[in-house]
Amino acid sequence: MKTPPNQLPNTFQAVFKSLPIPSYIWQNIDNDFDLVDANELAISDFSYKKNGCIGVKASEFYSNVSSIIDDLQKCIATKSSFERIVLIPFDDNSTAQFSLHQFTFIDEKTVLLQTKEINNSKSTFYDCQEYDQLLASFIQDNPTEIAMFDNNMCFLIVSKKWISSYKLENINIIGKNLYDIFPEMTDDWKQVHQRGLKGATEKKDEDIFVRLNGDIQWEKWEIRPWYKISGEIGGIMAFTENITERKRAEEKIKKDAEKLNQILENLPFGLSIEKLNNEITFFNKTLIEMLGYEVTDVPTEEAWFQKVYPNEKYRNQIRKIWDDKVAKSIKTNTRCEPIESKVQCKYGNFKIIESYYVAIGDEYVTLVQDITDIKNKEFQIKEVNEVIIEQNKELLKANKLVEESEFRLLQAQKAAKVGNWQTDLETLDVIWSEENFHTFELDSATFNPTHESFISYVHPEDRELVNEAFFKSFTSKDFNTVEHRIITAKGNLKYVEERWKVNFNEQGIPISIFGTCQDISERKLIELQLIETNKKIEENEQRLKLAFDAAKIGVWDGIIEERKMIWDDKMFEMYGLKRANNTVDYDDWANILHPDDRERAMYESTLILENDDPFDSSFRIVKENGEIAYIKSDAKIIKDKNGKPFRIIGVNRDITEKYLRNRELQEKELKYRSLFENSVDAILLYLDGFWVDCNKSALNLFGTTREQFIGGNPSKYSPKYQSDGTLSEEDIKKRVQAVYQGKSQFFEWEHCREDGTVFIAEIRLNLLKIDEKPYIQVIIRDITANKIAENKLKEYRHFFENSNDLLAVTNEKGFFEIVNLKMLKTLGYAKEDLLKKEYDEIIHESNVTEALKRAQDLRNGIALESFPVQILKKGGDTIWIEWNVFINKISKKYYSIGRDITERKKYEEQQALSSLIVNSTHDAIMAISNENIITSWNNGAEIMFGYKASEIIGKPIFQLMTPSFYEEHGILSEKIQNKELLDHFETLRVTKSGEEIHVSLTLSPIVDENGNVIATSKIMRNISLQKNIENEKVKIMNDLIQRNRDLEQFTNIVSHNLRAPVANIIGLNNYMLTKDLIPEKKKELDVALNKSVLNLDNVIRDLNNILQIRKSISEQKTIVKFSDLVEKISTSISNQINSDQVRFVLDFNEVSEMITIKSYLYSIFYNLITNSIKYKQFQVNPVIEIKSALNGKNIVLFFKDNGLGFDMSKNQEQIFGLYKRFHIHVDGKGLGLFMVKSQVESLGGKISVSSEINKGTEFKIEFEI
Amino acid sequence: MNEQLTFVLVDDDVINNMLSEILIEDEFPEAKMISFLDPEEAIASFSTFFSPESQSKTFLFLDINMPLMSGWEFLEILDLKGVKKYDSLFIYMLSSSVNKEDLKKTELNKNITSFIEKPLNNEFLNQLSEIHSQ
Repeated sequence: MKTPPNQLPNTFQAVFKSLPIPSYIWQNIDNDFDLVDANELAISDFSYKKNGCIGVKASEFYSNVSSIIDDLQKCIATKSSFERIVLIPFDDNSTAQFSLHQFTFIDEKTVLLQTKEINNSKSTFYDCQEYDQLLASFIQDNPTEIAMFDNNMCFLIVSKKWISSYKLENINIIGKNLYDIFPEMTDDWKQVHQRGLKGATEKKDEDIFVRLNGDIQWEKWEIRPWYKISGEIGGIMAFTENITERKRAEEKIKKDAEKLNQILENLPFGLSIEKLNNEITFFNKTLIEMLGYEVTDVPTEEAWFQKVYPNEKYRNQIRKIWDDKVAKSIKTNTRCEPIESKVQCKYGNFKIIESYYVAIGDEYVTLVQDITDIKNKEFQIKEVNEVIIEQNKELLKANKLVEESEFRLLQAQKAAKVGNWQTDLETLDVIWSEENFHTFELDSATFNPTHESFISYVHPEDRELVNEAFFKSFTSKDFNTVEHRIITAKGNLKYVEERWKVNFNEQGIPISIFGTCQDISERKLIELQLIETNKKIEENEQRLKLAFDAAKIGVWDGIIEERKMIWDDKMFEMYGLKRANNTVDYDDWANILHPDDRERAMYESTLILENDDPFDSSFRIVKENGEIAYIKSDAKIIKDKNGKPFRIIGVNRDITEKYLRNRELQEKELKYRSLFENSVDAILLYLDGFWVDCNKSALNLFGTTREQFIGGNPSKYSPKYQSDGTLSEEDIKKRVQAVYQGKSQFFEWEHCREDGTVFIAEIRLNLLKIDEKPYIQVIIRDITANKIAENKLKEYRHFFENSNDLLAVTNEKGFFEIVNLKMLKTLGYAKEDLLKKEYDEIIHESNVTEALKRAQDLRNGIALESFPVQILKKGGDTIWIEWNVFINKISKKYYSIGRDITERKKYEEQQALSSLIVNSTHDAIMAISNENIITSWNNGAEIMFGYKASEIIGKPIFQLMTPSFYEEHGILSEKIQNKELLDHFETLRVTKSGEEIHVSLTLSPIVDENGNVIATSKIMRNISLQKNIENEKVKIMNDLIQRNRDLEQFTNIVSHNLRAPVANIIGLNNYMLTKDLIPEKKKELDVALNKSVLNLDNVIRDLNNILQIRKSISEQKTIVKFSDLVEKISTSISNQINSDQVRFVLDFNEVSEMITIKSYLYSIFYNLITNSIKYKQFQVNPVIEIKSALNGKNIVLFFKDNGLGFDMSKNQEQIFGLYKRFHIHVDGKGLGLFMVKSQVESLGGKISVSSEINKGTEFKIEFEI
Repeated sequence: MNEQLTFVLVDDDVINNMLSEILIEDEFPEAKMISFLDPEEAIASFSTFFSPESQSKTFLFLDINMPLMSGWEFLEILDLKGVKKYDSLFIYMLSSSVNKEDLKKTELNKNITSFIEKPLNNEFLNQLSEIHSQ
């Protein structure tokens, strides 16, 4: 039966309704559930559900959730509440929604279902399938071990890790039961699973799992149920982690740590670990035991320091050391150096520790070693050592002493050459000392001495002796000796002395022998030598005696105290004394001495007493027979024990002969030396390449000092090459060799002085054997001077022969002795011929007397110079020779130098001639250098230019010309330089007085032998006169021509002017004759005829006048004053002057008068003045200016008017023309100016005119005075 | 045809001029007669008595020797003025003296017809009238 939904209790309903989540009440009806109630939220949810009303079936409502019925039923069945996550897909299957279904048991039929939506990231899980896949992948690929089991503990899903961990790779476990796979599963485990299946979640972090094969596995596991959508437990999920490895590792670590700990604890040294913050974390057992402190006692480093180093000072010290060492270790990244310190232990006692500091990671580990004992021991050892050392020292000392003794013994033995030996007669052991070995020259290391071996070294001849002695000694209790020879191992013969003593035991049996063996070789040898020596001495004494005898040596023995000497025979003989007794008094001896030497000899004899040196003294004695002998005395002092001299032993030698010989030798030597030294020639001694001796001359010759020279060699004092090109050094060697071979050398050689200057020497080399040494005696003679002289002579000879002068030497008698080539050539004689002649034989007779006189003069001391003489050539021709002759007063020879002056004479004549020419000519002849300086100046030049030669020579040529001619001169000079001749070049020059003269130049270059122009010669002719004449001529010519022309013109004009009226007359006349004329006409014609006739007459008159002018130049000249003339003229034409208001401006200041023909001048003035008035400008009053001036000597007159003027360009020539007129407005015949010109010219003047139309005219008249 | 003939006299000699006039008048009564004493004047008024176009002939008698300017100079000036040889102009050089030079100059000068020696005479004038009265 169905419980109606509204029968639920009210509170429950209210609560229900207000539940915050959608809640549904489902009631079980059959196998389905009906929705009895739903709360408000649930209802609002209906919106997206298809079915949404109460009473709906759960199967319908949750059609898309398959497990719903089961879950609901389960809830009722189990009467429990549970949750289930359900995935509710939407209707369109596009999305799904997770929903949490909470099932709550109400009663046996009712379940409260509450739903909660779970928001998942929608993005990822769209598809359920995909999600399943993802989930599967999640599990399978999970890096952890996961397995999903169903309720039967069958594998559903398992991760790969699981598989690999449990080594289930090859088994397909999906679907298989876990317990099948792992039969070893314990019940505990199974129970766990069951519990999980029931919904428990269990885990264990560590669990042991023993596999079948005995493997133990550690597992970390977690079991939890998984729920189906229905909310049922679908199974369990098992998460396991195989932590076996980890466990093992952990265990291992633990073990290791334990081990480590153990180690640390039980280290033989203390270990403390300190953290960075100086907190001490660990003391190992050893440390604790060592010092007693535990970590708790000294938790910090500081505490440690405090406790352990109670002494502050010491503590600081240690701290500093620590810090330094630590710092160093850090810096160098090495282990810290150990520190020794004395520390106080917990219980107050002190220990000495050595600490090492090591930084490990972030902890400091200090290793501490208790070295107290060690230190103590050390100390003890030190003490002991010291003791030992002391003891050792003592020992060493003792040893040393022993050694020394031993050594000394050895040395002594060595010195004494004594070796000791001992033989043990029982064992027959023989022991030798080192020296023994040495004596026998055996090596102690290699040689084992035995009696036999000893014997073997005994000299064969002495062996018997030795053995005998040896055996004999067995009976002796004393020392035994034997001397014998040995042959050492090295074969040397030695003498030895054996001394031994046999040791006997109580029984008297010899048991050992101790002995020494001394090397007495030396002694022996000495002994032997001594014997020999003695023998020799004896012999010598004998010989000496003989020698002394032979050598005349006397021996004396002086006893000082007694002042007596013992003399031998020789002495007496020597002194020429008879032997009175053996002794001779000192004084007696002194008496024999030569008085001159006595004092000295006696003095010297006393000297010996003072000096230890053996002394010798030489002195003369005077023998009884008066002979003087030279004695040499040698003596030696013998001193007594106390050092006091008591005997003198001496010898005397008669050295008279020797002395004399010596003296001779010395004298010789001196002579030689003197010779050597003073020889003018340089004498040198040469040995083995060097100068060993030389004399003064040599030093002088070489300009050197002894010190510099000796030791030098010839090549040093020679130039490198001789003049013939040979190498000096080589040549020297050759020559030296030659000398050694016995060939003396004599040659010339070039030497150098010390200063390097060269001289030529003649050298002789001779071999000298002195003391077997091959000395070369070198004699050098400086022949430089000779050579020079030789050369000079050659030169002179050369000059003599080749002189261009005639050279001759005539003897006293006048005969030619020497003549040179020139002489012979010039005179044409052969040498032989000439040498036969006397000098006067070749002199021309005309000169002979003079020559002889001159020769006499020469002898009297008057010089014979420049004496020209005509010499007869061979063939009879004469030749002029000029002679200079010298006389040599000593040889009385004449030296003549003659010069062929023929040429010169010619030249001189030419010179004279040309000089004459030059100087007589009127032409100026001069020469100028290339620099235009006058170098020669002849008479003619002096006259022409007025300069004396002395004042002009040396001056430049330009002095003779004006500057305007410099250029011209330059051009001429150039031409001359080009060697052109210039002939008759006309130019102007200036004389000294300033006068300009015309000259005609002829220039020619002067060339030297090379053709170079060195000067110019100028010949100048004064052509002024000619020029003047020429000019005059020209002037006259021109004049004449002009006059002729004038005349022609005149005649033309005259003829014309004459003819004109005549023509008229003829014409008129003819006409009148031919025609009948009316009276008026006739009258007219008559009148005309008359006029013409009158005209004719006039012309003739004019002509007359004109001709008159030309004729009467012979009229008297008088002084004419210009002003007078003007006045006169003015008066005569006063009317005209007044009417025309003519004004005169007169200036006759410069020249007021002139000497001339009055009438002419009057006429001139008149014509000009009247013209000026006549040709005045219209209505302009004429002004006539008349001025006089001087032009040099000439008088000039100016006539200026202000008239009409005329056209200069047109009419200039015609102004003075006859019958020429330019104006017809006034009367005028054209005659006036013609007349003026004629008159002016006839007075010796010139007239010129200038004019300007309508301005005026000016006439200029110039009279030449 | 009887064109008028013109005679021009340039001479500084009055009497000669008079004579010449008389003679010419006699021979050529209809002729025009102009005489100048001043050659300059003659030049100046040359165009008045002569024009090249006119058919009438002009005879110029020129004295050579004149004070102001010679006959040659006169001709030069005429030349400069552009007076050349015209068919209708006949120039005669008059001179009282015969000079070689003058003769030469006459011949050289193409403009001059001929040289006449003074005095002018009938014969010459007769010839002249014969030549020119056609």
